[in-house]
Amino acid sequence: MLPTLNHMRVLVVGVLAACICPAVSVAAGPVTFEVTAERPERPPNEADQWIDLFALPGVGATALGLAAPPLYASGLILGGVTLLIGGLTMHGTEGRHWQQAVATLEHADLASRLRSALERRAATAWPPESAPSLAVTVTLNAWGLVVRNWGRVAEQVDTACFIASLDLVARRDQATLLTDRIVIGTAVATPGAPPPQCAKLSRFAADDGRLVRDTAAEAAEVLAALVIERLRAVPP
Amino acid sequence: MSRWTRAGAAALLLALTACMSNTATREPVSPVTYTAPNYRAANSVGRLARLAVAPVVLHWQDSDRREDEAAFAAEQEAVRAETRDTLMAFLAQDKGYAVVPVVDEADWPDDAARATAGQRLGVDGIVVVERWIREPWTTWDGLLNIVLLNGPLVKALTETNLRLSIYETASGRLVWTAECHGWDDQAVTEIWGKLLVNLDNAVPAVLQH
Repeated sequence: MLPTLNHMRVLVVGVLAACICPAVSVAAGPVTFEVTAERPERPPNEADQWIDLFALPGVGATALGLAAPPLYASGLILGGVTLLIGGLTMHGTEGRHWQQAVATLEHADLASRLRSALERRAATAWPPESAPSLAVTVTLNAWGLVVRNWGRVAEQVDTACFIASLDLVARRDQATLLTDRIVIGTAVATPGAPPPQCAKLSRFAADDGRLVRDTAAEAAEVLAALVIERLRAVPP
Repeated sequence: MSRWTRAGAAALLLALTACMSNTATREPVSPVTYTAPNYRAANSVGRLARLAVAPVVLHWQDSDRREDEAAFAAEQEAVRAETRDTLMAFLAQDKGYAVVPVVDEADWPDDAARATAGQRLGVDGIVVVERWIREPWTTWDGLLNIVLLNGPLVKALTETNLRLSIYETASGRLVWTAECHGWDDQAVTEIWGKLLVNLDNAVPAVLQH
Protein backbone atom coordinates (compact mmCIF):
# COMPACT_ATOMS: atom_id res chain seq x y z
CA MET A 1 0.00 0.00 0.00
CA LEU A 2 1.38 3.42 -0.88
CA PRO A 3 2.04 5.73 2.07
CA THR A 4 -0.51 8.48 2.50
CA LEU A 5 0.33 12.14 2.76
CA ASN A 6 -0.03 11.97 6.50
CA HIS A 7 2.46 9.15 6.81
CA MET A 8 4.89 10.93 4.52
CA ARG A 9 4.56 13.90 6.85
CA VAL A 10 5.26 11.69 9.84
CA LEU A 11 8.37 10.31 8.23
CA VAL A 12 9.62 13.70 7.03
CA VAL A 13 9.06 15.24 10.44
CA GLY A 14 10.73 12.27 12.03
CA VAL A 15 13.82 12.68 9.89
CA LEU A 16 14.11 16.45 9.97
CA ALA A 17 13.01 17.41 13.45
CA ALA A 18 15.68 18.04 16.02
CA CYS A 19 16.03 15.37 18.67
CA ILE A 20 15.06 16.65 22.09
CA CYS A 21 16.07 13.55 24.03
CA PRO A 22 19.71 13.18 24.99
CA ALA A 23 21.28 9.95 23.81
CA VAL A 24 21.87 7.61 26.70
CA SER A 25 24.02 4.51 26.55
CA VAL A 26 23.21 1.57 28.74
CA ALA A 27 25.45 -1.42 29.11
CA ALA A 28 23.81 -4.84 29.20
CA GLY A 29 26.85 -7.05 29.40
CA PRO A 30 28.82 -6.54 26.19
CA VAL A 31 25.72 -5.23 24.38
CA THR A 32 25.31 -1.46 24.67
CA PHE A 33 22.24 0.49 23.64
CA GLU A 34 21.92 4.08 22.55
CA VAL A 35 18.31 5.22 22.28
CA THR A 36 17.16 8.52 20.84
CA ALA A 37 13.68 9.73 20.04
CA GLU A 38 11.87 12.51 18.28
CA ARG A 39 9.01 14.45 19.81
CA PRO A 40 5.74 12.52 19.76
CA GLU A 41 3.34 12.97 16.88
CA ARG A 42 0.16 14.79 17.88
CA PRO A 43 -3.18 14.40 16.15
CA PRO A 44 -4.66 17.63 14.74
CA ASN A 45 -7.04 19.44 17.06
CA GLU A 46 -10.34 19.28 15.19
CA ALA A 47 -12.42 20.91 17.92
CA ASP A 48 -12.64 24.20 16.02
CA GLN A 49 -14.70 22.54 13.29
CA TRP A 50 -17.68 22.64 15.68
CA ILE A 51 -17.41 26.40 15.84
CA ASP A 52 -17.32 26.68 12.06
CA LEU A 53 -20.03 24.12 11.39
CA PHE A 54 -22.54 24.89 14.13
CA ALA A 55 -21.74 27.79 16.45
CA LEU A 56 -21.13 30.44 13.77
CA PRO A 57 -24.20 29.47 11.71
CA GLY A 58 -26.09 29.53 15.01
CA VAL A 59 -25.00 33.09 15.67
CA GLY A 60 -26.00 34.01 12.14
CA ALA A 61 -29.43 32.41 12.42
CA THR A 62 -30.05 34.07 15.79
CA ALA A 63 -29.09 37.48 14.45
CA LEU A 64 -31.30 36.93 11.43
CA GLY A 65 -34.16 35.90 13.70
CA LEU A 66 -33.89 39.14 15.68
CA ALA A 67 -34.51 41.11 12.48
CA ALA A 68 -36.99 38.71 10.87
CA PRO A 69 -40.78 39.05 10.81
CA PRO A 70 -42.54 37.38 13.77
CA LEU A 71 -43.63 34.43 11.65
CA TYR A 72 -40.00 33.34 11.17
CA ALA A 73 -38.35 34.89 14.21
CA SER A 74 -39.07 32.16 16.76
CA GLY A 75 -37.84 29.34 14.52
CA LEU A 76 -34.65 31.15 13.56
CA ILE A 77 -33.85 32.19 17.12
CA LEU A 78 -34.63 28.78 18.62
CA GLY A 79 -32.70 26.98 15.90
CA GLY A 80 -29.81 29.42 16.09
CA VAL A 81 -29.47 29.17 19.86
CA THR A 82 -29.64 25.36 19.65
CA LEU A 83 -26.88 25.30 17.07
CA LEU A 84 -24.80 27.75 19.12
CA ILE A 85 -25.10 25.77 22.35
CA GLY A 86 -24.51 22.45 20.58
CA GLY A 87 -21.46 23.75 18.72
CA LEU A 88 -19.89 25.28 21.82
CA THR A 89 -20.55 22.13 23.84
CA MET A 90 -18.95 19.84 21.25
CA HIS A 91 -16.05 22.28 20.84
CA GLY A 92 -15.36 22.19 24.56
CA THR A 93 -15.73 18.42 24.85
CA GLU A 94 -13.49 17.55 21.91
CA GLY A 95 -10.96 20.18 22.96
CA ARG A 96 -10.68 18.60 26.42
CA HIS A 97 -10.24 15.13 24.94
CA TRP A 98 -7.51 16.39 22.63
CA GLN A 99 -5.68 18.20 25.44
CA GLN A 100 -5.80 15.19 27.76
CA ALA A 101 -4.56 12.77 25.09
CA VAL A 102 -1.75 15.09 23.98
CA ALA A 103 -0.67 15.93 27.53
CA THR A 104 -0.44 12.24 28.40
CA LEU A 105 1.48 11.60 25.20
CA GLU A 106 4.01 14.31 26.03
CA HIS A 107 4.72 12.61 29.36
CA ALA A 108 4.79 9.06 27.97
CA ASP A 109 8.59 9.17 27.41
CA LEU A 110 8.75 6.21 25.06
CA ALA A 111 12.54 6.48 24.78
CA SER A 112 13.12 5.82 28.48
CA ARG A 113 10.60 3.00 28.50
CA LEU A 114 12.24 1.43 25.46
CA ARG A 115 15.70 1.79 26.96
CA SER A 116 14.60 0.07 30.17
CA ALA A 117 12.89 -2.72 28.27
CA LEU A 118 15.94 -3.28 26.05
CA GLU A 119 18.25 -3.43 29.06
CA ARG A 120 16.01 -5.87 30.91
CA ARG A 121 15.42 -8.15 27.92
CA ALA A 122 19.08 -8.10 26.79
CA ALA A 123 20.19 -9.20 30.24
CA THR A 124 18.37 -12.51 29.79
CA ALA A 125 18.53 -12.92 26.01
CA TRP A 126 21.98 -14.54 25.90
CA PRO A 127 23.90 -16.73 28.32
CA PRO A 128 26.40 -14.46 30.12
CA GLU A 129 29.43 -16.22 28.65
CA SER A 130 28.18 -16.10 25.04
CA ALA A 131 26.64 -12.63 24.78
CA PRO A 132 27.86 -10.90 21.61
CA SER A 133 29.78 -7.67 21.64
CA LEU A 134 27.50 -5.14 20.00
CA ALA A 135 26.96 -1.40 19.98
CA VAL A 136 23.30 -0.92 19.17
CA THR A 137 21.79 2.39 18.11
CA VAL A 138 18.02 2.69 18.24
CA THR A 139 16.37 5.79 16.78
CA LEU A 140 12.66 6.29 17.34
CA ASN A 141 12.08 8.31 14.19
CA ALA A 142 8.31 8.62 14.59
CA TRP A 143 5.90 7.76 17.37
CA GLY A 144 2.69 9.06 18.83
CA LEU A 145 -0.92 9.50 17.78
CA VAL A 146 -1.83 10.01 14.14
CA VAL A 147 -5.21 10.31 12.48
CA ARG A 148 -6.48 7.13 10.95
CA ASN A 149 -7.06 7.50 7.23
CA TRP A 150 -6.37 4.20 5.64
CA GLY A 151 -7.81 0.99 4.30
CA ARG A 152 -11.39 -0.10 4.60
CA VAL A 153 -12.51 2.52 7.08
CA ALA A 154 -13.17 6.00 5.80
CA GLU A 155 -11.32 8.80 7.57
CA GLN A 156 -12.73 9.62 10.95
CA VAL A 157 -11.18 12.83 12.17
CA ASP A 158 -11.50 11.99 15.85
CA THR A 159 -10.11 8.48 15.47
CA ALA A 160 -6.41 8.18 16.17
CA CYS A 161 -3.85 5.40 16.11
CA PHE A 162 -0.74 4.97 18.27
CA ILE A 163 2.17 4.35 15.89
CA ALA A 164 5.87 3.79 16.47
CA SER A 165 8.77 3.42 14.07
CA LEU A 166 12.42 2.85 14.88
CA ASP A 167 15.66 2.40 13.00
CA LEU A 168 18.05 -0.17 14.36
CA VAL A 169 21.80 -0.27 13.71
CA ALA A 170 24.11 -2.84 15.31
CA ARG A 171 27.88 -2.38 15.03
CA ARG A 172 30.96 -4.25 16.16
CA ASP A 173 34.43 -2.77 15.80
CA GLN A 174 33.10 -0.01 13.54
CA ALA A 175 31.61 -2.61 11.19
CA THR A 176 27.87 -2.42 10.65
CA LEU A 177 26.39 -5.89 11.10
CA LEU A 178 22.69 -5.12 11.05
CA THR A 179 20.39 -2.33 9.93
CA ASP A 180 16.65 -2.68 10.13
CA ARG A 181 13.47 -0.71 10.57
CA ILE A 182 10.66 -1.86 12.84
CA VAL A 183 7.24 -0.26 12.42
CA ILE A 184 3.98 -0.48 14.32
CA GLY A 185 1.91 1.50 11.87
CA THR A 186 -1.30 1.87 9.95
CA ALA A 187 0.02 1.82 6.39
CA VAL A 188 3.25 -0.05 6.89
CA ALA A 189 3.85 -2.73 9.49
CA THR A 190 6.75 -5.02 10.24
CA PRO A 191 6.01 -8.75 10.09
CA GLY A 192 5.53 -9.93 13.65
CA ALA A 193 4.54 -6.50 14.89
CA PRO A 194 1.00 -6.07 16.22
CA PRO A 195 -1.47 -3.69 14.56
CA PRO A 196 -1.52 -0.17 16.03
CA GLN A 197 -4.02 0.59 18.77
CA CYS A 198 -6.71 2.76 17.20
CA ALA A 199 -9.61 4.37 19.04
CA LYS A 200 -11.59 7.54 19.37
CA LEU A 201 -9.67 10.38 20.99
CA SER A 202 -12.23 10.30 23.78
CA ARG A 203 -11.23 6.69 24.51
CA PHE A 204 -7.54 7.61 24.55
CA ALA A 205 -8.29 10.51 26.88
CA ALA A 206 -10.52 8.60 29.31
CA ASP A 207 -9.29 7.87 32.86
CA ASP A 208 -6.59 10.57 32.64
CA GLY A 209 -5.16 9.17 29.41
CA ARG A 210 -4.98 5.58 30.61
CA LEU A 211 -5.02 4.06 27.13
CA VAL A 212 -2.19 6.33 25.96
CA ARG A 213 -0.03 5.31 28.93
CA ASP A 214 -0.82 1.60 28.60
CA THR A 215 -0.25 1.62 24.84
CA ALA A 216 3.10 3.43 25.19
CA ALA A 217 4.24 0.96 27.84
CA GLU A 218 3.21 -1.97 25.69
CA ALA A 219 4.76 -0.50 22.53
CA ALA A 220 8.10 -0.16 24.32
CA GLU A 221 8.00 -3.82 25.33
CA VAL A 222 6.96 -5.00 21.87
CA LEU A 223 9.67 -2.94 20.15
CA ALA A 224 12.28 -4.15 22.62
CA ALA A 225 11.26 -7.77 22.05
CA LEU A 226 11.48 -7.35 18.28
CA VAL A 227 14.87 -5.61 18.52
CA ILE A 228 16.30 -8.37 20.70
CA GLU A 229 14.86 -10.96 18.33
CA ARG A 230 16.80 -9.38 15.46
CA LEU A 231 20.00 -8.99 17.50
CA ARG A 232 19.89 -12.67 18.38
CA ALA A 233 20.21 -13.44 14.68
CA VAL A 234 23.51 -11.53 14.48
CA PRO A 235 26.49 -13.93 14.47
CA PRO A 236 28.40 -13.79 17.78
CA MET B 1 -38.41 20.54 28.69
CA SER B 2 -41.13 17.93 28.76
CA ARG B 3 -40.50 14.22 29.11
CA TRP B 4 -41.58 13.60 25.53
CA THR B 5 -39.29 16.31 24.20
CA ARG B 6 -36.36 14.80 26.07
CA ALA B 7 -37.25 11.33 24.80
CA GLY B 8 -37.45 12.66 21.24
CA ALA B 9 -34.10 14.42 21.57
CA ALA B 10 -32.53 11.24 22.97
CA ALA B 11 -33.95 9.18 20.11
CA LEU B 12 -32.66 11.66 17.55
CA LEU B 13 -29.23 11.72 19.19
CA LEU B 14 -29.16 7.93 19.19
CA ALA B 15 -30.04 7.89 15.51
CA LEU B 16 -27.37 10.43 14.67
CA THR B 17 -24.74 8.52 16.61
CA ALA B 18 -25.56 5.15 15.06
CA CYS B 19 -23.03 2.41 15.70
CA MET B 20 -21.53 4.39 18.52
CA SER B 21 -22.73 2.67 21.65
CA ASN B 22 -20.44 0.27 23.44
CA THR B 23 -20.05 -0.72 27.07
CA ALA B 24 -17.14 -2.39 28.82
CA THR B 25 -16.97 -4.06 32.20
CA ARG B 26 -15.25 -2.29 35.07
CA GLU B 27 -14.41 -5.64 36.68
CA PRO B 28 -11.02 -7.29 36.07
CA VAL B 29 -10.79 -9.41 32.93
CA SER B 30 -8.72 -12.59 33.03
CA PRO B 31 -7.25 -14.71 30.23
CA VAL B 32 -7.01 -18.48 30.65
CA THR B 33 -4.60 -19.46 27.86
CA TYR B 34 -1.51 -17.55 29.05
CA THR B 35 -0.17 -16.14 32.29
CA ALA B 36 2.56 -13.69 31.18
CA PRO B 37 2.32 -10.23 32.71
CA ASN B 38 1.04 -7.48 30.42
CA TYR B 39 0.76 -3.73 30.44
CA ARG B 40 -2.99 -3.26 30.38
CA ALA B 41 -5.64 -1.93 32.70
CA ALA B 42 -7.16 -4.76 34.72
CA ASN B 43 -10.46 -4.44 32.88
CA SER B 44 -8.98 -4.29 29.36
CA VAL B 45 -10.77 -6.72 27.05
CA GLY B 46 -7.53 -6.97 25.07
CA ARG B 47 -6.30 -9.38 27.74
CA LEU B 48 -8.58 -11.94 26.08
CA ALA B 49 -6.13 -12.43 23.24
CA ARG B 50 -7.67 -15.63 21.86
CA LEU B 51 -11.31 -15.46 20.87
CA ALA B 52 -13.80 -17.93 19.46
CA VAL B 53 -16.47 -16.48 17.20
CA ALA B 54 -19.85 -18.20 17.48
CA PRO B 55 -22.16 -18.67 14.51
CA VAL B 56 -24.02 -15.43 13.77
CA VAL B 57 -27.56 -15.26 15.14
CA LEU B 58 -29.88 -13.83 12.48
CA HIS B 59 -33.22 -12.18 13.15
CA TRP B 60 -34.79 -11.86 9.72
CA GLN B 61 -37.94 -9.85 9.21
CA ASP B 62 -40.84 -11.78 7.69
CA SER B 63 -40.44 -11.88 3.96
CA ASP B 64 -42.01 -13.29 0.84
CA ARG B 65 -38.74 -15.09 0.30
CA ARG B 66 -39.73 -17.54 3.03
CA GLU B 67 -42.01 -19.16 0.46
CA ASP B 68 -38.89 -20.68 -1.10
CA GLU B 69 -37.39 -22.28 1.97
CA ALA B 70 -34.26 -23.57 0.27
CA ALA B 71 -33.36 -20.27 -1.35
CA PHE B 72 -34.12 -18.38 1.85
CA ALA B 73 -31.95 -20.74 3.91
CA ALA B 74 -29.10 -20.33 1.42
CA GLU B 75 -29.41 -16.55 1.59
CA GLN B 76 -29.37 -16.62 5.37
CA GLU B 77 -26.30 -18.82 5.39
CA ALA B 78 -24.52 -16.46 3.00
CA VAL B 79 -25.24 -13.49 5.28
CA ARG B 80 -24.09 -15.47 8.32
CA ALA B 81 -20.86 -16.47 6.60
CA GLU B 82 -20.10 -12.96 5.31
CA THR B 83 -20.77 -11.44 8.72
CA ARG B 84 -18.55 -13.88 10.57
CA ASP B 85 -15.75 -13.99 8.00
CA THR B 86 -15.41 -10.21 7.84
CA LEU B 87 -15.56 -9.96 11.63
CA MET B 88 -12.83 -12.57 12.08
CA ALA B 89 -10.64 -10.83 9.51
CA PHE B 90 -11.12 -7.47 11.25
CA LEU B 91 -10.38 -8.85 14.70
CA ALA B 92 -7.23 -10.57 13.46
CA GLN B 93 -5.81 -7.89 11.16
CA ASP B 94 -6.92 -4.65 12.80
CA LYS B 95 -7.09 -5.64 16.46
CA GLY B 96 -4.50 -8.41 16.68
CA TYR B 97 -6.69 -11.15 18.13
CA ALA B 98 -6.17 -14.84 17.47
CA VAL B 99 -9.61 -15.96 16.34
CA VAL B 100 -11.15 -19.34 15.71
CA PRO B 101 -14.67 -20.11 14.51
CA VAL B 102 -17.05 -22.13 16.65
CA VAL B 103 -18.04 -25.01 14.39
CA ASP B 104 -20.82 -26.49 16.50
CA GLU B 105 -24.17 -24.87 17.01
CA ALA B 106 -23.68 -22.42 19.88
CA ASP B 107 -26.44 -22.44 22.46
CA TRP B 108 -25.13 -21.45 25.85
CA PRO B 109 -27.91 -20.74 28.35
CA ASP B 110 -25.77 -19.30 31.15
CA ASP B 111 -22.31 -18.16 32.24
CA ALA B 112 -21.25 -21.64 33.32
CA ALA B 113 -22.07 -23.09 29.90
CA ARG B 114 -20.10 -20.35 28.17
CA ALA B 115 -17.13 -20.87 30.51
CA THR B 116 -17.18 -24.61 29.79
CA ALA B 117 -17.39 -23.98 26.04
CA GLY B 118 -14.50 -21.51 26.18
CA GLN B 119 -12.33 -23.98 28.09
CA ARG B 120 -13.16 -26.72 25.58
CA LEU B 121 -12.25 -24.43 22.68
CA GLY B 122 -9.01 -23.29 24.32
CA VAL B 123 -9.81 -19.58 24.09
CA ASP B 124 -9.89 -16.61 26.46
CA GLY B 125 -13.29 -15.42 25.34
CA ILE B 126 -16.27 -16.02 23.09
CA VAL B 127 -17.76 -13.53 20.62
CA VAL B 128 -21.48 -13.67 19.94
CA VAL B 129 -22.97 -11.63 17.08
CA GLU B 130 -26.65 -10.94 16.53
CA ARG B 131 -27.84 -9.29 13.34
CA TRP B 132 -31.29 -8.01 12.45
CA ILE B 133 -32.17 -7.92 8.75
CA ARG B 134 -35.15 -5.78 7.78
CA GLU B 135 -36.77 -5.36 4.42
CA PRO B 136 -36.49 -1.98 2.66
CA TRP B 137 -39.52 0.27 3.02
CA THR B 138 -42.30 -0.07 0.49
CA THR B 139 -44.45 2.79 -0.79
CA TRP B 140 -47.11 1.70 1.67
CA ASP B 141 -44.59 1.97 4.55
CA GLY B 142 -43.73 5.50 3.41
CA LEU B 143 -47.35 6.56 3.30
CA LEU B 144 -47.95 5.01 6.69
CA ASN B 145 -44.99 6.93 8.05
CA ILE B 146 -46.57 10.20 6.92
CA VAL B 147 -49.89 9.32 8.51
CA LEU B 148 -48.17 8.34 11.76
CA LEU B 149 -46.16 11.58 11.89
CA ASN B 150 -42.71 10.00 11.37
CA GLY B 151 -43.18 7.56 14.22
CA PRO B 152 -42.06 4.55 12.11
CA LEU B 153 -39.05 6.53 10.88
CA VAL B 154 -37.85 7.32 14.41
CA LYS B 155 -38.46 3.70 15.40
CA ALA B 156 -36.42 2.48 12.41
CA LEU B 157 -33.57 4.87 13.21
CA THR B 158 -33.31 3.72 16.80
CA GLU B 159 -33.74 -0.02 16.36
CA THR B 160 -30.73 -2.23 16.94
CA ASN B 161 -29.51 -3.92 13.78
CA LEU B 162 -26.23 -5.39 15.01
CA ARG B 163 -24.99 -6.43 18.43
CA LEU B 164 -21.62 -7.89 19.32
CA SER B 165 -20.97 -9.35 22.76
CA ILE B 166 -17.73 -10.70 24.22
CA TYR B 167 -17.85 -13.17 27.12
CA GLU B 168 -14.75 -14.14 29.07
CA THR B 169 -14.01 -17.83 29.48
CA ALA B 170 -12.74 -17.50 33.04
CA SER B 171 -16.17 -16.57 34.42
CA GLY B 172 -18.51 -16.85 31.44
CA ARG B 173 -19.80 -13.33 32.04
CA LEU B 174 -20.33 -10.53 29.54
CA VAL B 175 -17.35 -8.15 29.50
CA TRP B 176 -17.84 -6.01 26.37
CA THR B 177 -20.75 -5.23 24.11
CA ALA B 178 -21.44 -2.87 21.23
CA GLU B 179 -24.59 -2.12 19.30
CA CYS B 180 -25.30 -0.54 15.95
CA HIS B 181 -28.58 1.32 15.46
CA GLY B 182 -30.33 2.80 12.47
CA TRP B 183 -30.36 1.87 8.83
CA ASP B 184 -28.68 -1.34 7.82
CA ASP B 185 -27.46 0.06 4.54
CA GLN B 186 -23.72 -0.19 5.06
CA ALA B 187 -21.46 -2.98 3.90
CA VAL B 188 -20.73 -5.16 6.88
CA THR B 189 -16.97 -4.67 6.35
CA GLU B 190 -17.39 -0.94 7.00
CA ILE B 191 -19.54 -1.53 10.06
CA TRP B 192 -16.84 -3.37 12.02
CA GLY B 193 -14.48 -0.40 11.84
CA LYS B 194 -17.11 1.81 13.45
CA LEU B 195 -18.63 -0.69 15.85
CA LEU B 196 -15.31 -1.94 17.22
CA VAL B 197 -13.30 1.29 17.02
CA ASN B 198 -12.97 1.49 20.80
CA LEU B 199 -12.22 -2.19 21.35
CA ASP B 200 -8.77 -2.58 22.87
CA ASN B 201 -6.22 -4.44 20.76
CA ALA B 202 -5.27 -7.91 21.90
CA VAL B 203 -2.17 -8.31 24.02
CA PRO B 204 0.48 -8.93 21.31
CA ALA B 205 1.61 -12.53 20.84
CA VAL B 206 5.22 -11.49 21.46
CA LEU B 207 4.27 -10.52 25.04
CA GLN B 208 2.28 -13.64 25.83
CA HIS B 209 5.29 -15.80 26.67
